[in-house]
Amino acid sequence: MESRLPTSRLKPLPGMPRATGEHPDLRDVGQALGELRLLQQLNQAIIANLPSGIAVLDQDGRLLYFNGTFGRMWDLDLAALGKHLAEVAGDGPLSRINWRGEVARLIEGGQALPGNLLEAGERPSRRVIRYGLFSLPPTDFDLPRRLVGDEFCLGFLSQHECIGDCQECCAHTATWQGDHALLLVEDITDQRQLEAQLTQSEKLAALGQLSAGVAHEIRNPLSAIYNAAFYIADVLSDEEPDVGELQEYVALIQRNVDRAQRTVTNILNFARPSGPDRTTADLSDLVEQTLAILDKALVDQGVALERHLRSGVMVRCRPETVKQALLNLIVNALQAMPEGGTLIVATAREDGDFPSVLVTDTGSGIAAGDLSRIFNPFYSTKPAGQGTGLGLSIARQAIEADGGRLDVASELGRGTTFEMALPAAH
Amino acid sequence: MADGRVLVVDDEPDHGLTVRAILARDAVAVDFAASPEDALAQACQQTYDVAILDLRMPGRDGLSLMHALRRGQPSLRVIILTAYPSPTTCRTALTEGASAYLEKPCAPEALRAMVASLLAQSSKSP
Repeated sequence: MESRLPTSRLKPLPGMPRATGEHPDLRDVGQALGELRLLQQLNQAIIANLPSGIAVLDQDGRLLYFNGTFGRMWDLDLAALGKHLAEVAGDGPLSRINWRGEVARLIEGGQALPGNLLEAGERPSRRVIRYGLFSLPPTDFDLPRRLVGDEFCLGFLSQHECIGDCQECCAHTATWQGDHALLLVEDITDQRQLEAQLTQSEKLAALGQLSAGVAHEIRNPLSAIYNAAFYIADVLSDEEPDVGELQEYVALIQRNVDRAQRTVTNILNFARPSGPDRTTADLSDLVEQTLAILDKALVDQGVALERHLRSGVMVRCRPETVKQALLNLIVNALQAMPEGGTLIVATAREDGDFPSVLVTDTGSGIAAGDLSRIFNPFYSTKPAGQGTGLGLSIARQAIEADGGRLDVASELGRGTTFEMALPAAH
Repeated sequence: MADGRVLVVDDEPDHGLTVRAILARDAVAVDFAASPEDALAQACQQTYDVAILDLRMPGRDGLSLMHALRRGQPSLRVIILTAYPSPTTCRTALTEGASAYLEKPCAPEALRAMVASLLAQSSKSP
């Protein structure tokens, strides 16, 4: 990074009289130019040190400018300038986009296109980036460019003293004409990995909270099987065993083996780490699979369950992530009804672009002052040690990463409703 | 096996019914209740020597049921049986007067021996 301040070595721009120091007006021009150069260096330093990749594309999707972060992300050098972005981006996520089309869409629509996610590459080196495309005001001028450190400066005010006729920078002069687009790129691979790890640990913590129910669902059938086998053996040891009634106990054993097996399957389905890819899933199936491991908790707490689920409402999401978020919502709902109540789970907006599932409890409700904070990380109303305060925060983040929404409405003394909306699979 | 009457209370019918079947083999009279309310209703009609109570049941847990049953039948001997044992509930159960605290699955021979022993105590000191 060039850090020298402007000095008296400043040369005039083409067509501009030399600042000799003899003419007061020209001294002012020289000073103004020095200040401009300082400002440009400051801007250059800010842009170079941003953790985001920044690039400017022309209307054909060619690179006009990029900062050092962008260059390092895609291993670009000055030779990439003027080339199509898809052509120089290797096999990374950026090569999968028709940039010409995107820029045209941007210019035509006049709207920024922020927040798009791209994933590419094979695990574990799979990269996830988030990019946004923004329109820049139309321009009509030529700018020389020059490498300074690993950045290249842009504009007449660069420290390089070119006045428009040297080989070094004029070979790279860019013509900025017409419409341009500003491309901002963030590499969120690490963030996504961290998010996946957090989701997984939160999922295991939730299973830990449900461990009493899990033990109940495994040990009761085991115990019944143990007793039935003992009883059958005991009867068969009689001199003249009455085997007629034993059939009932054989059926009891089979029934309880099935039940234990179902419980283990439900837990394994639940604890499986989330896949990285979105897929098409039936929203009501996801709800049912989550409710399957919660049945015992509902009964234990004297909570009645009302289901209003329409099957065949298809959404695009990471199913394991959605089930985890649903589990968090339902566990929260149960905690809001320690004295029992009704849990209502319903699909809504079934034919829209964002079908949703509503999780409603008839518990104590959440005060308006707390409502805005419940999605904040580490915010918890539970006693210390009984909740990480991350459940709802992770749930919302994960649902938003899938292009969905998680909202809440509550009334003190009446109860709370969470609405989880996901993009429809058309 | 000594004479006596046993009440088995469990919200898991298959478990309760198999316990009843095993104990009935020893010619013990055994009643089964599938809920705490059912148990209290039966205890109004019948006197029991031993009760085998599940710990986690909807509405009222086994310890609370033990106290409720004992109000009417102070000499009742109680075995707490649970699928989710913890040192805390074990300590509480034994301090509050349960005769035994067993984990599910519990060896049927052990349960049978425990019931026989409590019935014997019951017949000596009603």
